[in-house]
Amino acid sequence: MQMKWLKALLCVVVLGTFTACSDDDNNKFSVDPDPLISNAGTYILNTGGWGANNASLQHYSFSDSTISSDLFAAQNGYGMGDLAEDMVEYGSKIYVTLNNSAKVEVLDRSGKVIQTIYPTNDAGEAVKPCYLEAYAGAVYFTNYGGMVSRIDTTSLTITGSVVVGDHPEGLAAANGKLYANISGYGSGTKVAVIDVTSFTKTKELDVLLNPYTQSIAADDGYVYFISSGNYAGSPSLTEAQYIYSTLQRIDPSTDVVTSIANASLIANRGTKMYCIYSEYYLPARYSIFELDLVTGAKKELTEIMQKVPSASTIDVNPSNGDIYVANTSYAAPNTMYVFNSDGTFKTSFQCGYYTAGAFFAKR
Amino acid sequence: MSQVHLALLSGALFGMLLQCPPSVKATENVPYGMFSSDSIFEKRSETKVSELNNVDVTARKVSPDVTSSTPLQTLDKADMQRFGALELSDAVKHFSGVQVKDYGGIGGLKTISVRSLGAQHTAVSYDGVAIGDCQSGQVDLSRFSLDQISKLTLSIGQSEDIYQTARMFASAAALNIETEAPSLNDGSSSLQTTLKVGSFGMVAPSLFYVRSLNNRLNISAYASYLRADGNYPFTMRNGIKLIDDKRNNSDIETYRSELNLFAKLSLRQDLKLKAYLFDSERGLPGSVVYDNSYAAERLTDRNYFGQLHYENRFSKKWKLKSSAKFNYSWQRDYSPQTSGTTDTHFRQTESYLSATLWGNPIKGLSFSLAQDLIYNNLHNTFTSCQFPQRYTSLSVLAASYEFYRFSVSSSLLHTLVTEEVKVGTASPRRTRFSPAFSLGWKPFVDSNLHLRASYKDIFRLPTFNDLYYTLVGNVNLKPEKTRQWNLGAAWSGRCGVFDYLSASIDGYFNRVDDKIIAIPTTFVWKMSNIGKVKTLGADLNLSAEVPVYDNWRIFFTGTYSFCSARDVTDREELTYDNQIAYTPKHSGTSSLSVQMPWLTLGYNVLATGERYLSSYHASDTYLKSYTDHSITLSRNFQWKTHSLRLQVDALNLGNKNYEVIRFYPMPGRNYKLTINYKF
Repeated sequence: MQMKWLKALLCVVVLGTFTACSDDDNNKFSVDPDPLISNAGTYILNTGGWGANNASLQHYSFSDSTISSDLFAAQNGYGMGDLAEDMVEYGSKIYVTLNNSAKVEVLDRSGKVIQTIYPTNDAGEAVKPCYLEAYAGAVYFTNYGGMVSRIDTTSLTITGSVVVGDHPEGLAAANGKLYANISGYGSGTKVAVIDVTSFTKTKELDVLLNPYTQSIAADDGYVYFISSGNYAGSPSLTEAQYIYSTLQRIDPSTDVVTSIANASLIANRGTKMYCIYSEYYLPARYSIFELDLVTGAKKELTEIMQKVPSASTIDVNPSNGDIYVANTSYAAPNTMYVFNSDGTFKTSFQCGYYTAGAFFAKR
Repeated sequence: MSQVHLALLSGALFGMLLQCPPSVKATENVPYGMFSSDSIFEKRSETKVSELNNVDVTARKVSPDVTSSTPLQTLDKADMQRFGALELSDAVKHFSGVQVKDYGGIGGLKTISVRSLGAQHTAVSYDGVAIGDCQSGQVDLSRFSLDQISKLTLSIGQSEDIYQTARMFASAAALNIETEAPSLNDGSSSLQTTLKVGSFGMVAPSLFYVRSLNNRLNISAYASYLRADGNYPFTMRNGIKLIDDKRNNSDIETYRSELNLFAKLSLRQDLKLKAYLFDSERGLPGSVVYDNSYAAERLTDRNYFGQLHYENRFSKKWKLKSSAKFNYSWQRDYSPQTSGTTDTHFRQTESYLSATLWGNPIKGLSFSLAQDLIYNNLHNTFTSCQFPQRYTSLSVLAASYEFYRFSVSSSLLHTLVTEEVKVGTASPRRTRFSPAFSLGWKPFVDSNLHLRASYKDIFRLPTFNDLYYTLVGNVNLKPEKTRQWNLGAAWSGRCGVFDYLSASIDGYFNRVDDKIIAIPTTFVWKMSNIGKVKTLGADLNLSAEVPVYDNWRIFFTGTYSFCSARDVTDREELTYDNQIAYTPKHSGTSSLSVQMPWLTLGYNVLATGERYLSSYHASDTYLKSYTDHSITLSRNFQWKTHSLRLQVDALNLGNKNYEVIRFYPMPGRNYKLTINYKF
């Protein structure tokens, strides 16, 4: 009799061991009351994986070459959200677009939230914000509602929106105008021109296929942007049909568009453009080079190419010309490599997931 | 749970078994050991002639789960009812060595992965013929209702049953689903009606009608409807922020129907015909995205297939079976967004033909020859669709030999695949030979202990998505290869107070090479063969039945799986030697059921240990362990030919919105009532 119940008890014990596996909820973030932001540094924005809710913001300090942890999480106690596309530092505030979380976070320089803006369209539906440009006292951003919207920097609310086209991406401002890349989800061939004062779309410029994320108001006064083309080298295209990824330039006084060179990602300092050129189907064309905007001369940065075989971002420090390049990574967080302005290796540090780039304060 | 637990558990298990006496002598009770697959039988004592008292033979035929030379697990209808399972995935979670990737809710995607190999390595067969999806390569278990499923079998490695279609030799593991086959032959009929009602607006009525037309022809017809609102509440933490929300756009409506014809053409010839229809429309709630709960994507699935099965048992030594199947699948993905609406249609067909010849020329030796031909094609409305077509030929030569208390099986599969596309380049033609071996041994004559060892070399072809999907696809992908080694022991029998006790333990080592994963490049991802995985694991199964008091019975089943699957792709990577994504090191299930004359009470636990959502391990990729407890109560009523069964289930008693897949929370505590009436 005793044996029988002993054996029945064994069953219960076996059952019970499984319940020992459960853990209590643990709060992964602890608020850090002492922000460690030195003035000399740059912000690293990490987009995160789609649906992974792991976008993050870090600060890299020049003086001691240290990279911070996730500032947003440390300052606010929770994760920033999903798919941080772009950020801009303006006045004393940082504006970050979270594309999949459909919001713009306005933060102070330590990463603490001042205001969260949830953009909507006329029907009151949430729209996904993409790329930012700060200009003449306001912050503008493109969004997947097909619009460019304006944020007032004192009220921190959206004070106007103008419809520009399908899937607008990169945005740059010059000469009282905003230039928005109308990607058309890969089929677009226009850049929309918006007059800042009236905040209306005045015209569309014809450009090469798929003007995408890159758009810069450069130091030389021109607006430079990239059309990604049609995935040249794709097996479903003949060579005559290839449209390569091309850097183009708009003269903001005449609105004339000129093609400059083949490139995919760009960063500007003075009269130099630092470029990554990568065609998905044509890996032999991969190149990282410095382009002289005056002479058109290309200088290939071979040491960078060796160290970063699959570059995903390029940025340049406006003060000293240091070049920041991040490498794509499969599961682990990205690594940011820092090179001197002559292309020689300086240092590297680990960032977050799917780094968007290094964002320097405008001088 | 640690390795200490594992050691203690297996020690306890085998400690118990060692206490069990060997089978009793022939002059007392009929020894259960006599009914196993011995070639040499025990000699009866002839020295004494005595009259035997009437004995109740309560022996049970030894389950093939124990005698099989490769790991085999079976669940029958009674087992599934004890687990309170509503869907196929609920029942399958009770197998050892299995991870079900569950995206939550009734309409959520559920796929089965065996020993961390992934869903595309598990074949799913429905009444003998494989269910396939050439586009994704995985089967969504949520489309099967358990109403007319009578048996589920999971076979890991190559099953020693060599009388199968060639396709059943072509996967690392196989889940076989068998539906109820009518056994009437006297012109009678029976009708079964079931109604299931549950939380979140779930209502599921179904009808199952069986009729014997004459002593040669039976038909069965099944029809069911399922609807659910599915918008269950959940909570989730984002640091100090608590997300307290409801799933949104989670409704589902499904129609299923099936018609089967069973014909006995002669004493030796059988013919079975099946027509199947599945039509479902559901909302896709998507993953939880911080600050954005918008979800409006709709998925419509229509699947029709017809299959024919013919068998001719020429003699005791020769038999042939043949199948033919045509499958049509249509899917519509409708997604309204503020950036515009996308409406994509997908259409796949599969045509399948198979023949297997089996022979038993001399005692103990049997062999089989199987040939399968498969044609798949895909259309979708993407502008980049290449309209791929795939022609596959599978040929198998298998042999099995039994001598003394050994059984040896081996098979060789030859695969030939060619593809064509209307646009662009097709994947190159591929051929490969895949061997498998297994050895079974019953070391003691008077004990039901079986030892087993097996090896299987098999692969999975890249799916149409892997090869041809817009941009991401890579036509030069090679098949993903696996090699499995398994060593195990199984035992069953009576033991002391246990009317039935069965235990098995298997240790395994797997290697995966050319694993297909998506690698990011500057703007886009690309499918590549760059993964390598090494897995070491163990699966334990225990089941027991104890009669208590007069007519009470206690049933217990428990499983425990240990799986250490490490990413050994690149020594330089930060992911090197880490446990791969979504694979817990420890997991297990437990089910205790007390059958009393007036009520049956069951208690089930599913436990999954900690895991990481990628092979990069950090606090932000860590997923904690969880347990899912449930209770079921049921009662059968019977008078004359009518029977009524009532069952109430309370699921996820802990009310935790645990996540199997990150950001897809599971429903909290929910309830189900099942009424089944048969007349």
